[in-house]
Amino acid sequence: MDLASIAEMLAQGLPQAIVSGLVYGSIYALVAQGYYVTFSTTDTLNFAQGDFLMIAAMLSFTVLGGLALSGVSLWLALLAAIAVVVVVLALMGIAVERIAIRPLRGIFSFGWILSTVGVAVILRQMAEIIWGREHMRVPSVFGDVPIRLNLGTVQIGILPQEVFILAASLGAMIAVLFFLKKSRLGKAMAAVAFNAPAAALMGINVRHIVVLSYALSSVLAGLAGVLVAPVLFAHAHMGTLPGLKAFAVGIIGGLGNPVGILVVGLALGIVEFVVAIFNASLRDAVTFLILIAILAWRPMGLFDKSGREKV
Amino acid sequence: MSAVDEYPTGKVPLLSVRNLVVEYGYVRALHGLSIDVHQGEVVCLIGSNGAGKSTTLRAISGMIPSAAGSVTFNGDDITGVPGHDIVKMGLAHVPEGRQVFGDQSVHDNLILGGITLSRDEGRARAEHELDRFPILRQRQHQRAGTLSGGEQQMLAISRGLMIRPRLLLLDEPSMGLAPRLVHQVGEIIIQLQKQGMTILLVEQMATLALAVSDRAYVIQNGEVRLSGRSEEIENNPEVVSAYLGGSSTSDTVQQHQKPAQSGKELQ
Ligand SMILES: Nc1ncnc2c1ncn2[C@@H]1O[C@H](COP(=O)(O)OP(=O)(O)OP(=O)(O)O)[C@@H](O)[C@H]1O
Ligand SMILES: [Mg+2]
Repeated sequence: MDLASIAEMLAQGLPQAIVSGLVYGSIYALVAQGYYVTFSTTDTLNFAQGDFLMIAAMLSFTVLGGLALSGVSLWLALLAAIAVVVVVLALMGIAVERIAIRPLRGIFSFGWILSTVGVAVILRQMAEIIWGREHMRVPSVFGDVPIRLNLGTVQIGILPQEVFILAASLGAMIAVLFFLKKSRLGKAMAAVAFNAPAAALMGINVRHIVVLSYALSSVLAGLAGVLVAPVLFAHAHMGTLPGLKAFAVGIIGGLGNPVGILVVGLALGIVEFVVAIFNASLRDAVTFLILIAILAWRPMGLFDKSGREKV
Repeated sequence: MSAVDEYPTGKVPLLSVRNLVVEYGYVRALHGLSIDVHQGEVVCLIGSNGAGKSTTLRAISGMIPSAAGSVTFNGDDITGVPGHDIVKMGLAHVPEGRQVFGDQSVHDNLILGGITLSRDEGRARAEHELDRFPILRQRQHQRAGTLSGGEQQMLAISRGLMIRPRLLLLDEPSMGLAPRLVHQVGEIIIQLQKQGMTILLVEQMATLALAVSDRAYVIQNGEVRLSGRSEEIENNPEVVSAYLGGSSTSDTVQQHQKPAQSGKELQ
């Protein structure tokens, strides 16, 4: 492959890669905001976050599919699916904090990493038992006809559901950040993150805040699951890669930096689709190679002001 | 300072700590400590490093559990009540080292101080506090971490006052401050008492503490070594040699016994 043909492929593929990259990148960012929320209040995170996304996709298959078959309008069915996912995922977040995080948060313990990875494995197997091993289609309320854009010689296609993914995940992130910055509850969460004993002296129940952060984090993963279910097939292992990639986004963007997470999430999505222009089957491998290279260069993430970690 | 005169007349104290024992792991920090604070009093705890002064305040406000003994506040037994519930009963603790929320604005720090109040009351109280400390109003949108040490101390006190506490616990408000600011802290305490506040003050700077308080307890190795009216403690030869550097009439004491004018930072 010579330089000229590489340039040609890029020119043809780049606009589409950027559009698709933004869509999937926004999902990584949304899931990673969940890591941010719990990491800032507890210094822990839920490695089953990707599988929480999977459970939400499965639930939306059951609720949306079930209601749609019985003749309820798709919109109504979508709202019902969102409601079910919010409630179930919030409860799952509360449960994971109670079972897998709280008992293991000793000073010298990394047990919570093992226990949340364990939760991930359990969820995957449970999903296989409940929903089987098939890849299931979840209908989109917006239909399956792609929107086509002509930019001169280049064509871009995007599904209406993908537009919805980008809009809804950006909207959800902005809403969450606004909530964390402006509401009293958000300020209380930030106070716990900054100095939990002092926050308790203000009358803030630190344990409630921790539980709330886990519930919120899980609901964000759940929302991501509902959004992607119609464009990825729902299946028991669909959450593994998004969960890992979102973790990479958190590490590189900064687990305490929601704006960094947003920027890196979108960028990661674009990088993936640009790589896929050349070789779709190397997409994940090359993407993680790039992530490892970035970490070698800046171990504390791109935006950490302290720069390279001193050994 | 009439509260002192009323003291032994059998009135129930606002705060009563009885035989308090606190342990950090296997280390016993308090060995059955008892103190009382009456409505309207300023009481100070003095003692050297590691005596157990901060531990006493932490156990009172529920930051740390106690192994034995009891704390009664305003008639309620609050031993073992979680700290975040004790705040709601009207007990504010301004901890050692200020502990302001450095990444949030001055105004948000005040709002957090009043988080147990209704939203509207919290806002109104914050306005009131910004009137009390004009320097904080000037800096209200600045991140608290960017304030000077003295300003952070004002903020920490102001944040504690947000709930209009019945009892204010102050842990080393003069720590790390320049002499001019130490004086100002003394003025604030005097002003607060005039406005009816009851204060339990912990200070290593014994001259300051004795000058602004009605009564004092000298804490040593987790026990009350001496107690009495501050003037008496101030003239106690043992205290003079151990805590007051051999002179009971240092400049700071003189300054605080007769505050020249009401503090600039106070209304
Ligand atoms: N978190 C802790 N863990 C273990 N021991 C502690 C802890 N905090 C305090 N101690 C010990 O308890 C004793 C009392 O400490 P405390 O902080 O109450 O002293 P203090 O009178 O406030 O001293 P200072 O004037 O230095 O603030 C000390 O021996 C101290 O080492
Ligand atoms: Mg102390």
